[in-house]
Amino acid sequence: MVFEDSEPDLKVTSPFAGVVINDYIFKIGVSLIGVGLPLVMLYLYLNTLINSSMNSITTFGIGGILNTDWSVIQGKFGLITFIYGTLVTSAIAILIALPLSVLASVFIYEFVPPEFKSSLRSIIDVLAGIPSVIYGLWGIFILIPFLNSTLYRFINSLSGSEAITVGYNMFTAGLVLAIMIIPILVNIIMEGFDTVPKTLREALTGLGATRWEVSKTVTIGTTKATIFTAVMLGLGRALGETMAVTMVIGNSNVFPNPFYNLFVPGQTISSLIANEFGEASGLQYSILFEAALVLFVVTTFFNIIGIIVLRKLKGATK
Amino acid sequence: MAERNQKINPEFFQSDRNLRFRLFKDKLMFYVTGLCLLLILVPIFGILFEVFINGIIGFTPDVFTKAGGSPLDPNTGLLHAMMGTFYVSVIASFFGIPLGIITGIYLEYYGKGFFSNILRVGIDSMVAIPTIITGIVVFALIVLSMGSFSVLAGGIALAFIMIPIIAKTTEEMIRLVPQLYDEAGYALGLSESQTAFSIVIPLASRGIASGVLLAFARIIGETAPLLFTAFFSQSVPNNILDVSATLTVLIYQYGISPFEAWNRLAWVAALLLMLMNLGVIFITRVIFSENGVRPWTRIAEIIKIAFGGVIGEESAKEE
Repeated sequence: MVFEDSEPDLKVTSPFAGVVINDYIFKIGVSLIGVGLPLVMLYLYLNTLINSSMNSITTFGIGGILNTDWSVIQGKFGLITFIYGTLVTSAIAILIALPLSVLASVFIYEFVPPEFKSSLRSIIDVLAGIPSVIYGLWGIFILIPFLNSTLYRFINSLSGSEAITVGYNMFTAGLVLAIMIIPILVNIIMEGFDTVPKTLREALTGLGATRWEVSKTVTIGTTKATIFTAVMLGLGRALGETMAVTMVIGNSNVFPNPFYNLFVPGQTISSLIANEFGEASGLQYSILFEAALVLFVVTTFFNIIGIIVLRKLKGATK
Repeated sequence: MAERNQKINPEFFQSDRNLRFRLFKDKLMFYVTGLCLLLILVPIFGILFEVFINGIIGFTPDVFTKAGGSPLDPNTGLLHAMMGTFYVSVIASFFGIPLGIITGIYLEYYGKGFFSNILRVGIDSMVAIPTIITGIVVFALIVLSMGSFSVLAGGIALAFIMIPIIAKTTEEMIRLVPQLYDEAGYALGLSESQTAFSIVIPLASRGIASGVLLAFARIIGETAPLLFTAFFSQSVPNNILDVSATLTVLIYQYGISPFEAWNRLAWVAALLLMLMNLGVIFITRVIFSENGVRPWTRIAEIIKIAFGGVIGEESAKEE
């Protein structure tokens, strides 16, 4: 506890200090807002999402949206292309961000001198707050030209054809997402590392293990669940991200052909909404709400798994 | 690394190929993990650097005094977007801060039992809702019923994002104040509300303030919820029912536009936004640092809630 090194300064002044309110009124007032407000907000979210998408749900049913045809003029509203785009970009982001974050955290934890450690962690924490639209802007003007002249040119020359024609593609979007979620991942993983018992590390070091062996077996080994949680929460963030993706993904409503070609323009659910919602009316308006509902369910699913595991962990380490 | 190798007498282990391999692997992983840290730091600092340089390059005094206009007109600025961001964040704070704090107080003081846990899960999932969804929900609720895009609708969308974050952080920060102080209050004969307002909440006030500031930093950086609520325009909003540009939406619109003049302004807007955003976070970190005079503030955790949508950090009340 903090008491040991710093005595709390108790001479607090606050506009509230000394306010006398009847306990009963306090309880009623606080409870009214505390219970009422979240319930009203949740109701507004769910009610609006479901009501506004009713039109398309009743028109298309399940089968009408589970295909890859999207044509506003012909009234075809298949969502598979966008669900696929959402999952693929998030998967790329996690596949890039996870190993980098874990290994970088090991380096910070194991090899960075203590006097730099906390400031380095603070910097990474602060950088988690860069607005996503700035990542998008950077993606357009810096990252895409850079990739075009290096990685994409290299792949093109390797395959001997112009396989990658535009820098605005799903891989780029995944890469931007990866860069965006890394600070949060490092934050969660480092916090997991903090809970590793010192005795375990000392025991293994005493047996003659090298630093990397200690890191691998103890530091990473005992925090696997935390790392899993970090992945779930990072996924939750990546799946729902709008701006950084919309600006670099190329916004194409056509399903990639072949499906494993990640270097073609695509679209995610949130970028679809960002692009089409402004001019949408009628069925298209409704289908966009249905897409939002799908996105809501998917992100909530991953977040709840993450939260449950994190809660279990917190309970276990106490 | 170096000292460790010196401790091992090489002659003694000379025959042990396995050990040499292990030491080699140890050294190799030192470089590999170091490279990973470099790989994550380079793009992040690259972004900071590029925004700074490009923002400075495009900067003119007109930025602060002129509203938007045609991309061919060299005398345009960002005044309209700055005013828009100012309006939406003030409206969001007006609703979000008091309501969020009261909800947090409720959760900590009376939020026990099954029903409250359901409520908590609801708030947790609202923290993590993709913000574009908030945008279109507020569009359906407010813009449709009022008949036009408005700064007010934008502010309310941001309040929807702010309330769960502040509620969560307030609850966490009050919980960090040891039970001891509640008991001290009751022992003096104070009632529950007196204890809360005179002792516990003032003690938690730094933590609560950091939560509020970081939630504020989060919402000024939000774009998606404003796309279809505050929308976009090239003139300064006259009142809260006007449609208006904001810095974030302007970065998006100008960034994807083909006009060089607008791209330049997008970078300037990005610099302004980042200075505000990281400025608030940095100041919060410095002033309310956990190593400072007053305990019970955990900035790292608040940052996680505000920017990562990361929740479930139920710390136990200190007994």
